[in-house]
Amino acid sequence: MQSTAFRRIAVQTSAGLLAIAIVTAGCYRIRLGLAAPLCLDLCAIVILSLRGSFLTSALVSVVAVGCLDYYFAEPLFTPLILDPLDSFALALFLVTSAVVTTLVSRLRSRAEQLTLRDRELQERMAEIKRGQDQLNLARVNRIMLMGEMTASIAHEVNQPLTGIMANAGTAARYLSRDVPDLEEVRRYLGLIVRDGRRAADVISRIRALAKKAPPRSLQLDLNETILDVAKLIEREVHVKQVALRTELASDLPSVPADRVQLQQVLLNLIVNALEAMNELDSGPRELAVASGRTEFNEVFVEVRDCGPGFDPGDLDRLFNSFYTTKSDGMGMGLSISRSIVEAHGGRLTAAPNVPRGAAFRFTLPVEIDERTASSR
Amino acid sequence: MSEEPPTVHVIDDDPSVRDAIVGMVNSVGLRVRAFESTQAFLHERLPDGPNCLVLDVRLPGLSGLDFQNELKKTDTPVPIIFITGFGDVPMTVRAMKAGAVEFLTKPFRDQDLLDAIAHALDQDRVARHERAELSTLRQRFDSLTERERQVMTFVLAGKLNREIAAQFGTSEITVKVQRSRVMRKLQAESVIDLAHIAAKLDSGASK
Repeated sequence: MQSTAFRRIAVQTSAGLLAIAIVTAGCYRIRLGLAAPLCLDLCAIVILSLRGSFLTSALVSVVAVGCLDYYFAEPLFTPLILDPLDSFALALFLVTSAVVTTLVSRLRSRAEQLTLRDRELQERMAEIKRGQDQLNLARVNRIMLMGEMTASIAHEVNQPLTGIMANAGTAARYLSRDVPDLEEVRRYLGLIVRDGRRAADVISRIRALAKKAPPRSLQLDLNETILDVAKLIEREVHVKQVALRTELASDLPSVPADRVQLQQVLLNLIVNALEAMNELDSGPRELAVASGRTEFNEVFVEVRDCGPGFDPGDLDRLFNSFYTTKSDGMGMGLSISRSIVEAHGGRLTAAPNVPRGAAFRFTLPVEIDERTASSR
Repeated sequence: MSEEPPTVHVIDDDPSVRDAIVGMVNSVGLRVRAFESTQAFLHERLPDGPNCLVLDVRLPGLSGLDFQNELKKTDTPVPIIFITGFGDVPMTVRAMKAGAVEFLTKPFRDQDLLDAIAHALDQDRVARHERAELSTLRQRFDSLTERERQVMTFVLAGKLNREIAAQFGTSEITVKVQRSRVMRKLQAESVIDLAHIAAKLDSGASK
């Protein structure tokens, strides 16, 4: 870097000196007075200061004054100057070139600063835009997931509602008999209560899912989150004839995490697993969700399916945005899940499942209690 | 003919809905049997009486609509009333075209389902009657000899005994005997009656 800057200064200086030499030689040959070379030299210095450094311009100015004095001011070929007008002209030349050079160099440095700041600003703006895009995509993904769940949830509310309406009709029929069968009426009222409770359960589960995000520092029981999500997709699992198995560690410590975001990660992984097994014609349809502790004071959650799995060559691309194997997929689920997990200080990884399928696993650090940490 | 009482079969994997429908049907004094899946239903022998099926469209495994097609292929089709959580138009059209009695969207009015059930049982009663009649006719037809069947074809084509005799190179008397045997075996009282029976057998065979 430094050698190129040095070379540039050297080149500019020699170009300036050359220009002065040509002007001096040319004007001297055709016997012009002091004024003409003075103007031409000034032009050369202005041009030079626009391109080169302050030092170069200053050096060339001094040399130019020397040349003008030597070749054009009486007596010729001596450093002496007889005519006070010539002295004045030369002094003026020196001052003008100094002022121009200073002004131009100051302008140049200001312009350079502005370019730099502009570039910085553009980078900052691009960064903000990227962040916003990511956020928007995360929202879209969440909405899509909610959409998928809504059909399932609507069905879940509709079922007990159907039961309630039918049971009410039945109870009414028993009541309006000539001799009302109160035993039967009581039985169907009981069924109505059971179904009503079931509908209320569904509603409270949706409410829990849609709740605004609690503060991040919330201590989260991952097992509870897994069971919540499992309950939400119970219907999908049932209809797709998948056996869902949970292997939850009983001594799982809670972790500081955002419940809604982790639900989203889990939903993403489980819905992926269900869809992977959708195309399965034969073989067991087993989906396992396991939790446990790692040796590095972390908790882990693993979702394993028996689907076709993935090509080990695709492992790198699996978590990329817009990489998808589904015809209607956006390829955002895993990418967003990974960013959520990483924002919590964890990792989301994929591995082949044994004997077949895919296993996705994320870990989250267990925060050490600050008091016990400082007392050590 | 001794016949079992009408039976309503309910296939729904959801206990809330299943129990409710069973109770509802029971309360109007009809016999009802409930199943969790289509497989469980297929394991059971169908009672020898009017039957109808209340079927959830969305079931694990074979969907209700696919099951409808499977059932149609069997020799004892059962009238089906579909119940569904979200009945879109194409789905309804498909089910009705395939011969569903009714397509109800959950939650339905209980009277709507009871009406549909009554309608379906009537429909099956008629269909059973027709099936029984057809099988009797077929048995009678099967008892005809090859020659008697040929004679029957010519009679239905409006040929005279003389013409038939000339065709077979037998005497008119023989044709007369064969013809009266056909009438007796098929229990037809006139040639018009015989034509009716033939038409029924034809339509039965094309089904």
